[in-house]
Amino acid sequence: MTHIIYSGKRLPSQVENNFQELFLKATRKQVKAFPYTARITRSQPTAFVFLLDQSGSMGDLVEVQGKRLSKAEFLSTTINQLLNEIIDRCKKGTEIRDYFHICLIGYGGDSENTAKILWQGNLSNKTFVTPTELIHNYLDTETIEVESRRPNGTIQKIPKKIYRWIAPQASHRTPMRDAFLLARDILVQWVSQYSQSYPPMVINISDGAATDTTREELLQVAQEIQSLATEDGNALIFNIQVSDKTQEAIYFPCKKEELPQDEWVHLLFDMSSDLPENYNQSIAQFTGRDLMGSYTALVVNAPLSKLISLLNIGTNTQTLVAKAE
Amino acid sequence: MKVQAQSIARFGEQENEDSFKVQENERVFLLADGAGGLGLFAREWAEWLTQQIPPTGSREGFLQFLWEQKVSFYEQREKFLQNNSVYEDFADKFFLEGSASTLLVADGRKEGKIKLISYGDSGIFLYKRRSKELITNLQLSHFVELPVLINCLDKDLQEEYLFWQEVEWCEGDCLLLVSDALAQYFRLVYAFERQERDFLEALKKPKTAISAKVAAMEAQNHVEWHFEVILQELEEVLQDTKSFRDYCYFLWKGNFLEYDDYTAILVRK
Repeated sequence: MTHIIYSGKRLPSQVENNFQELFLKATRKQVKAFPYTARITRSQPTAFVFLLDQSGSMGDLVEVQGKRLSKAEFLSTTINQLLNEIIDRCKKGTEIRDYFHICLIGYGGDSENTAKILWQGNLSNKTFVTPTELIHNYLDTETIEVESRRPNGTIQKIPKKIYRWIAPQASHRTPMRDAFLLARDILVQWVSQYSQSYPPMVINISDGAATDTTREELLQVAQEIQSLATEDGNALIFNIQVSDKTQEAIYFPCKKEELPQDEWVHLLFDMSSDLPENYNQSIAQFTGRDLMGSYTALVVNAPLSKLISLLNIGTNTQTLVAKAE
Repeated sequence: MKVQAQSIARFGEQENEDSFKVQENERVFLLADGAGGLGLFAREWAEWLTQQIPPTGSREGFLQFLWEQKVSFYEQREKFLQNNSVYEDFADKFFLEGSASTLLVADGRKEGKIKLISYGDSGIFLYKRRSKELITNLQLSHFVELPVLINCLDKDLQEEYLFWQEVEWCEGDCLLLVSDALAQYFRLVYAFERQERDFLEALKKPKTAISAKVAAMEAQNHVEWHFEVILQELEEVLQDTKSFRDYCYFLWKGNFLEYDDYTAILVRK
């Protein structure tokens, strides 16, 4: 892939004189009549940007599926699992097809006020990473046994290599706005470079509220991201607020009225995208709701045990790869 | 009886995951569309399914045959993976997701009759020349729901998804077997010709790739969609691969066709 023109914390909005020009260009695309229908190809991939809360509260211990571990551990395990699944989706014959560009951004972690890109090792100077780069550059790997069912119904155990790219982190406060700013800056360039691609999806996973901003500032940067567009549509934002409490989860609301009276949750709703209808099938399957609904990319009080399913809905890789080139 | 068939890989690709077999003397036609988005070995599975003529005497016998094919194919692939280390990092995808394909069978061995059989979203059409009626497996669900496929991992096939119909096969009737992208196109042409408003409105509702196809066809105000005319066009281009490729390319560029492998078998009695 062609590399984005900066790496690490050298944000284009800080160093590039022409950032404003790039930003305007990225927001003034003529979107086609039937958006979110572009076929993904190796030359027209789509992008996922994950914003991961690594603040101190993510260190709280929780019990998920009989295991007691911190939220941060659970989050990093889930993200590693998702990346493994994305690689699997891209396998064709004996090659890996780079249908997706992936960026992981952490906020909190080792800094009070700034977000950072989480790739390490050989990937540490990269913003977006392809599945091929992922499979060749990982922190560690292990081979586990998974169950597979034969056509005659018998079960066999087969070896499966599992890779790991990020480790858990949990400290400091929650500089969520900085994470959104970083996402905006790298996406400004990505949509300029891949102007015909299926639009990028930003998925923000957090257990709390931002500590580095006001409501207005956070909403503004979310709207700026949503204004970035390829010819196939605007960038999407999916907010997942995870919870270890027993509050009722609210999945993909259609209206604000479905949400509890909570200022932060209402802000998340305003920051989340209206999902195009090609997500409806998986939402309907997951929630049992109407196939024809108009859903917002927001989940409130998401149980950690459901996180991988929610990420699969948000990335929609099964549908995207089914019609990939 | 005039039989024509062509199959091409999607544009820019070498590997064609469709497979077909024409047993003209026996009046049996098979087409399988391997689903490359799932598991591994879609092409091999589609080829396997079109190697031999399945029994068409009863639904039970047909499903039993498919079950036996799944087991044999799985065992053969399992051995293949054990002996090919190049697949080491890919084998789990086969064991966890399998290989998937559709299957169409048209069996005209019984005088004056033809049996139309389908599993999955490829299209089998019998166009009756006199009545201009179209008999097909393709329903609305084939357009708006995830396709149901024959996966070599599945223990059982779901009988309710098996299309099975025996009909009169008269002089001049046209039999068409096509893989899924072309199937959608031909079914839409018929829907436009017959002004199937409910069907077309239902497809337009979700803004998906298929609604874009409906809109693209609707926008051709100057074109009167006639299934018979489109069949004649197909008949002309099926004479050679280049013409068929150009035809599919034109339809794809016009946004009438999904990007896919394209296979068509046309039989005019």
